[in-house]
This record gives sequence, structure tokens and C-alpha cells, in this order.
Amino acid sequence: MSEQIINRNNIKISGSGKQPMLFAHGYGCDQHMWRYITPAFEKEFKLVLFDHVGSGKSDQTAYDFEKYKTVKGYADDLIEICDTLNLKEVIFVGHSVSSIIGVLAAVERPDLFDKLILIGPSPCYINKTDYVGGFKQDDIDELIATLESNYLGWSSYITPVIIGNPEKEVYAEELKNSFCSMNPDIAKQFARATFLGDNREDLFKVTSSTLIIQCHPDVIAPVEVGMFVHKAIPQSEYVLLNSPGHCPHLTAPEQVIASIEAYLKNKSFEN
Amino acid sequence: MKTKLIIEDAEDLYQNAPFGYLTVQSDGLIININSTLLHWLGYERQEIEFQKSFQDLLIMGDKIYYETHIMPMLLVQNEIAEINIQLKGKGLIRLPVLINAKRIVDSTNQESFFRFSLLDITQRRKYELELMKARKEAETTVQQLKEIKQDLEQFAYVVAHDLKTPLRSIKGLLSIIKNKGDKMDNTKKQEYFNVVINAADDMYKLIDSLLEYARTGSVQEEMQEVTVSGIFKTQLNFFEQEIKKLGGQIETHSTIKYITVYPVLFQQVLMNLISNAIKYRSETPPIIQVTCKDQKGYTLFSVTDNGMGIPTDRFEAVFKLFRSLNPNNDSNGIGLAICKKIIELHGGTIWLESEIGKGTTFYFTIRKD
Repeated sequence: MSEQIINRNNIKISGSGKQPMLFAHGYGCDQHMWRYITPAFEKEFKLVLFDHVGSGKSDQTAYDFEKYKTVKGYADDLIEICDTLNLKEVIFVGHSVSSIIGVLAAVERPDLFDKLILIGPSPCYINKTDYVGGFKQDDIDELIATLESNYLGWSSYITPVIIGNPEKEVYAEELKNSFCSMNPDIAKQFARATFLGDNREDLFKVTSSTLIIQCHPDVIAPVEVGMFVHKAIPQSEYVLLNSPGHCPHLTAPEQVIASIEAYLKNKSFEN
Repeated sequence: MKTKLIIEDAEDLYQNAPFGYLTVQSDGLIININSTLLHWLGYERQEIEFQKSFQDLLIMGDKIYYETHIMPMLLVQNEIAEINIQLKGKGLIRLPVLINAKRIVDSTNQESFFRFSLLDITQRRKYELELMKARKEAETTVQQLKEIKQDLEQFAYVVAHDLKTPLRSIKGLLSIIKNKGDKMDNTKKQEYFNVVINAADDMYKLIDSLLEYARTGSVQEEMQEVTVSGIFKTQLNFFEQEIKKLGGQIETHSTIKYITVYPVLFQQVLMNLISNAIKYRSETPPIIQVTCKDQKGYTLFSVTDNGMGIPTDRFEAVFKLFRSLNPNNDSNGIGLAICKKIIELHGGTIWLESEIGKGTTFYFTIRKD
């Protein structure tokens, strides 16, 4: 069982600490997104990285179109990962859609999670009458069209060629066909599961202490949305980074590390 | 041949290369753009440089793709190639491009910036769309062929089965007559012969219907404009006596004067539907209504009865070959399959609504042009 889950989610464990820090990548890419963040925590924590089913080097055959129709399927996997690896008092770090995946898991199994760190969270991307998520349904259809036009390559394996630094050739080779590339049908369904869901209600049920890391400007998850999450989650802190875009762990890793460290220290001090 | 050394001017090469170039800061702000790309996009230099970010040139869907795929790849891999997106130019200009990009780290301040090269693929994009369309069509055709193959298998199976049943009784009865014929009395023998002849008749009927079904595809007659009232009159002449005998009635109503159809085939559809309405009547005398009206580019017909009704789960099956609801009731399950084929020849569709014990309405459309 444990072997099967480890393969299914391509789980990688490292670090010399005891308390587990579980990193969940967002929509589009895979666990390599955390490469600039993890070194800062490997001494003090046990680091657990994984790929969502359908992404990166996960087991593609485990992708179930019914199960992963909504993000709930991924939240179930997250709980399964914690149970299988016997992780307790988990510090969960989730980017983008994985923030919400973490929220769903923590609402269902609060016993597993000590803290949630959410980078660029959005509980609902589509504008509603009383809520600004930033997107219209049409925008998501456009995204699907872009994905589709980039599949022409995928289907014949001329995937966008991704070349790393010459001195890191092995690494580049390993990434070439996995990082940010996905089976077209899975990518489309993951896009829908990510961008068409509405999990606003779940935020209010979170009992774990939470840190929200927000960028500005962020087209995917605007500041208003980050503030909404902060207001909705009872025990939450909010950090606004001086960095644009949606992937501060890539663009401004030092700021992300500093805010996580400050948050974790502050908390342990309180304890 | 003499060769002459041409020294390229680097600035001119950058500005006027047959390729789009731009450079952005890590937040996407465009700090350099070449003349070629400006020309493609229909912008003036001062409208772009330090004014717009790369994301500003993208439609919303591509913005998401940029943030979730392109930027992460550039930041992890430092280089990307052959990504297909669309740029928004001035006004209604839309430019499909393939982008390559590279991350450059400034040695003085360690800041990253990114160089993009863009290839106009307007022509290629059209070609790709054609390809995608063709692929989708091919997939649909394969699906259709699969269904046809299944139908054929079912067809062969049922034909074999349905022909075997009467043949078996013919053979059985003839064997009895051969072996015991001398000792049989004449009445018994006569009875057996009648069963044999009936069985042979059944086979004839089945074979005729099959031929008819097969022939329906290849139309022999011409499309003609005919009056709806004429069509209805033919049907009334044919069925009115039979229905009156059963104590029932048939009514027709039309808001349309003319239709263009294959007359013989078309009559056959109404003939099949009305005779089904009589055949599958309930205890009460049959009341049948036939209507015809206009419906956005189509003419809509309906045949309503007060008969036994059809279970919801059979609504589609009844139009398939040999899926008669009531195999014993002189029905070989071909009639509605033929109707469907004829209606499709007229560019229309056929469907039904029904409630058990209350009756059924068959609807079908035919295209006007």
C-alpha cells in the first residue's frame, strides 16, 4: 500500500528534522517548483515533496477522471499521503490551487495538520455576484484553447523543449518532459477543477493556524482574494510580499523563506 | 564568382530582423522591443517600452498560461522554446506566435531579465486549426464506423437467428412428414404443410424487409415539391377504413402547404408510423393525430396515438434494427429503422415522447432547403 502511494505521487522525502513539512505544488508544474525554498528548511524539518496525480512524474495510470473532477480528489490523496507516511503535526505548504487542497484536507482531518502555509491562495477564481475572483468563465475557456494549441506538440512528443544550465545537464534531462508538461486531457480537466471550483465556505471551517503569503500584483490570485482568505480563516496571518507574479517561491524565494521562518518562530515562541 | 564581405550592423539586425524580439524585467515590464514586432503589433515604440508588460499583450487565458507555465519554466529552466500563444496588438490585431525565451542574469546586480524571440505563425496557425479540425473529424468518423460495425454484427446475428427460427420448424415438420407421412391422416398432414408454408412466408417477408432497408440508402427517385394535403389524403385513403372498423378515428392538420421530399420514401415513413399506431393500440379504440408545421428551417411532423406507450429506456432502441418491442406481433423490428434512415436522407431527425398507458408521439423533421 505505502509503496503504491509513494509511486503514485512520486513522493520524495529528505531533511534531517522530525516535524514534517509537506510541500504541494500548484497547477501547471510539479514539485521542482520548491527547489529554491526547501534547502532553507532541510536541517530542521522532515521535508516531504510529491507530485499531484497527473502532474510531473506521478503515476499517470492512477489518474481517475471521475475522482479528480474537483479538487476534493486531490485533498483525499493528501490525507492518504499523511496517513501512509504516518505524518503528524504537519506543516503544510501549498501553492495556488494546492492551498485550497490543503484547506479541504485540514477541514476533514484537523488532527493531521499543525499549520497551513498558503502561497497565492484563491478559494474561487470566477467572479460571483458578491465576490471578485478575477476571472470570467470565458477566460477559462481561453486557457483551455491555449492548452489545446500547445498539445499539438505534446501528442508527437515535441513538447516545449526545456533546457537547463549546461552544468546541470542531468537535471535538465530529467525535467525535459515532465516539468510543466501534462497529458492534454488531464491538463484540461485539472484546469477546470482548479479554476471552476468554489470552496469559499470551506475557509471558515479551518481550525489550524494559517499563514497567507500574497504577491502584488498577482493576476491569478489578486490581493483582494488573499484578503478574503485571511478574513475567512479564523486563526490566520497575512503577509504581502514585495514581488509581482504568482510564483514568489521562484521569483522571490528569499522573501518567502523569511516570511515562513518568521511565522514558524513566532508560533513556537507563543507555544 | 566573386564574394563580397557584408558587415551586418548589429542594431539594424536587431531592429529589422524578420523576427520579433523583446526584453522584459522579471515583473514582465517591457524594456526593449524591436521594430519588426512593433510593426506586427501596430504600436509605436513609446506606447510599449516601459509602458506595458508582456502580460498586457496577452488575452486572459494566455495570462493564466503565462503565470502557471511560462514563467515557472523560465525561472526553473532558464530557457523555453516553441510555446504557442497569441498576442494582442493595437485594436483588433491578433498575432499568433511561437515564443522562445531565455533568462539573463545581470552580473552587476544579479537581477534577472528575459529575452523573448517571437515567430509570427499566422499561416501555420491556420494550418494547425485545419489539422485539428481534420483530426476531430477523423475521430468522429472512426466513432461512427465503430457504431456501424457493431450494428452490422448485430444485424448479421439477428438475421441469422430470425431466418433460422422458421427454417428450423420447416425442417422439423418436413422430417416428421418424411418419416411418418404414410401413417399420418390427411388433415394432420395438411396442417403441417400450412405451418411450413407460413414459415416460408415469414422468411420471404423478412428478406423483403431487409432488401427494402438496404435499398433505402440508395435513392432512385427525385426530390419533388408536393402538397402536404395530398400526402395526408393518400394516408387517409389507406388507413381510414381500418381505423373506423376498430371504432377509432384519424385526424390530420397542417399549417404548411408544400414540402420538398422523395415522395415514395416519405409516404413510407407516415405509413410505418400510422400502422404502428394502429398495431400497438391499447384496449380503447385508436385515436390518431397527424400534424405538420413550420420550425426554423425545418418542417416538423408529428404522429400522436393513444396506444400502449413505450418505456422510456427504449426511446432510442426502437430506431435500431431488430429491436422490436413486441417480436410476436407480426413485427420484425425493421420499420422504424427504415423511417430513421429515410428521415436522415431528408436532413432531419426523428424522436419520440411516450407515456405507458397513455400513448406515444413520434416527431420528425425534414430540412427545407
